[in-house]
Amino acid sequence: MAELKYYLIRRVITFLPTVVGMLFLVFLVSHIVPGDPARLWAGPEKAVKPEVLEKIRRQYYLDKPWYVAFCYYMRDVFTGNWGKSPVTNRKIIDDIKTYFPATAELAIVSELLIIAVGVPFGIVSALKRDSIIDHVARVFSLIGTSLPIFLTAIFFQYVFYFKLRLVPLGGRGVKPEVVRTGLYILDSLLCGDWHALLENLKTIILPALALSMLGMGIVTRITRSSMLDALGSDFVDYAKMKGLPNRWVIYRHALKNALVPVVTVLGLQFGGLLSGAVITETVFARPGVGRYAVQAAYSLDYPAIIGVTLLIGLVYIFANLVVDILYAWIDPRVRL
Amino acid sequence: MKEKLARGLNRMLDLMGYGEKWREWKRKRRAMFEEWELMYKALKRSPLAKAGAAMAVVFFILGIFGPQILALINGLYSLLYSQGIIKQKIVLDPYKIFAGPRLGKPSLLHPFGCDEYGRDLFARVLTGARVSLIVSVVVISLGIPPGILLGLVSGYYGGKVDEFIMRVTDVFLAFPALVLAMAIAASLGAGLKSAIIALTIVWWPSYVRLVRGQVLSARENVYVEAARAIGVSNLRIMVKHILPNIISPVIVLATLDFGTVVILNAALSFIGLGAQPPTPEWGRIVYDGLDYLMMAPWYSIIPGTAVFLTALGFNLLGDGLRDVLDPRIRRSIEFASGRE
Repeated sequence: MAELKYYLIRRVITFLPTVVGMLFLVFLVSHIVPGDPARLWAGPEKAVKPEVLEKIRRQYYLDKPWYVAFCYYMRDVFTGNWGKSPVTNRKIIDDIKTYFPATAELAIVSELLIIAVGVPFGIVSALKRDSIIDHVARVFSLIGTSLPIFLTAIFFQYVFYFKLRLVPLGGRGVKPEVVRTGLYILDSLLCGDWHALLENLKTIILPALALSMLGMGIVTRITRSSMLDALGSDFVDYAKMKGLPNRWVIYRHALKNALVPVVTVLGLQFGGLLSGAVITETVFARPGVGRYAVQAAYSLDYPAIIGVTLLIGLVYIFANLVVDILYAWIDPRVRL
Repeated sequence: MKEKLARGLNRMLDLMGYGEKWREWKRKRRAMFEEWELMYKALKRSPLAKAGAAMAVVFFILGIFGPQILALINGLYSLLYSQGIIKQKIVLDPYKIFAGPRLGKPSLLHPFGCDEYGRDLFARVLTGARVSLIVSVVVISLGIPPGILLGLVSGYYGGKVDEFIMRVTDVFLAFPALVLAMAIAASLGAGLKSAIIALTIVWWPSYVRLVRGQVLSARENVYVEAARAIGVSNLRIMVKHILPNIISPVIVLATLDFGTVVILNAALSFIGLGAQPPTPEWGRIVYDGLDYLMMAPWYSIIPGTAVFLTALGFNLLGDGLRDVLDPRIRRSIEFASGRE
């Protein structure tokens, strides 16, 4: 396991420049724009007093050279000083803290759904190649990758809420008795509040399903092709020749190797889930950072938009770090 | 029919004095033409790819000739009105308010229904095709070439240049495309132009990665070494020798991306950062219809379906092209059709 340790250290060292690069990109987009950036940070009001603009310039270091401003900006990001909304006059970081758990919960449930549906579907369609199931999986993944999230979300909402009344319209669900993590499903499980658990599951199922359609399609396809690759390789033939039972060959040997690329795709999908959450949350009126960003976009609340961008960027590269570590743990070749 | 056309073309070129040049050029490029013919044959054999190509063509036609089609339908309506076959005078216009009943149901005269201002949704969705078409064509044609160029340079030269280009690319890829596009569009001020610029800026990095990976394996080929040995310049090797050999996956990805751009542009407008009202844009129409989902579900679902069908068409076509552009699969089709 010594190599794993070195790999981890190496990976974390290369992780830091990516974070700085990402921050620089956000800085570039938000501080160096054509026209007057201070006007953007000042919010939707048409006529802003010159002294207010001057104050904003000082607050976001727009009066300093860009390299100085960037250093201050990095310090502010890490100390949680993400600016203040000109619309609501609240601190962006507080808003994000309030709204983030709803988005995190949605993304995690969707990711679990993707794994639970995509991987088995892909395995079965690889094992029963050219059967009905394989064709269904192919059509399913094609439709999944072509469906815009807003259409899926609206369609689900129309059928399951307006027509069948099976689930609530949307929203955040029921607050459990004790809130510890902010993830309502987990909290209601922890404190044994079964009523809240049921309600929260009902609330989240539609947005999560709508959000995960794309990922399910992609993961099904990747699992199928990498499983087919693995089944056609020499080590599988060898295992069969040794006389191992078929089930053993498939699940112990082929599947383990086939899952390596699937893990990468699952990590990349997480970013898709975060940006898809922007739309899903808007359709289902779920108070997460996505809906917050859309409201900010409609009310021209610029600091809030940049705050959400920063947050999603940070979460996404962190998720990719986790995936890389998982990857090294599954596949010994990566560590070297 | 085909021969007649070919003969006509030859005759025309002869008259213009280019006949000999053209035939010479064609003789030189014979292999290329044969390959294209094979691709076309292979594409024709796959029903899914054919369906995708048909959907893509319909999208292009509606995007280019949308207003003319609308004028044609309007002409028909006024003819029917003057003959007394329909009772009310109807003009389909994407901007005209109170052209029909508020949130009117889809009917013969308003095939997709009407929105809350009584604007005809059929006209709006049809005109929306042009906005989507413009965005996707501009983003694809401006976003891909820099990606290919950087990928070529990065893969061919390697070393520090490669390291630098790839780190910059990684930073761009550290964002989900929609989120970065959202931030850029917000910085530039909401509007169609900002949406196009934002999508173009986020589009090139995935091509750098793809092309670089392909170049890394292609540059080890003997023909590259041979070209270098006879003193061909680096630029010429990259563009004339390596690029044609690695272009197929790029074409496939670009085809698939056509659909993705349409979806992402609709998503940007849905968020409120794309084309501004009253411009008919699919994503924005979907957003506007959300408030009336219970009373008028068609309001949101029809433009959403337009986005879906467009994306599906390009996905089917891209999948088909993937098979066709792979020489191994193409050869097997060739054998099956009994050539050689």
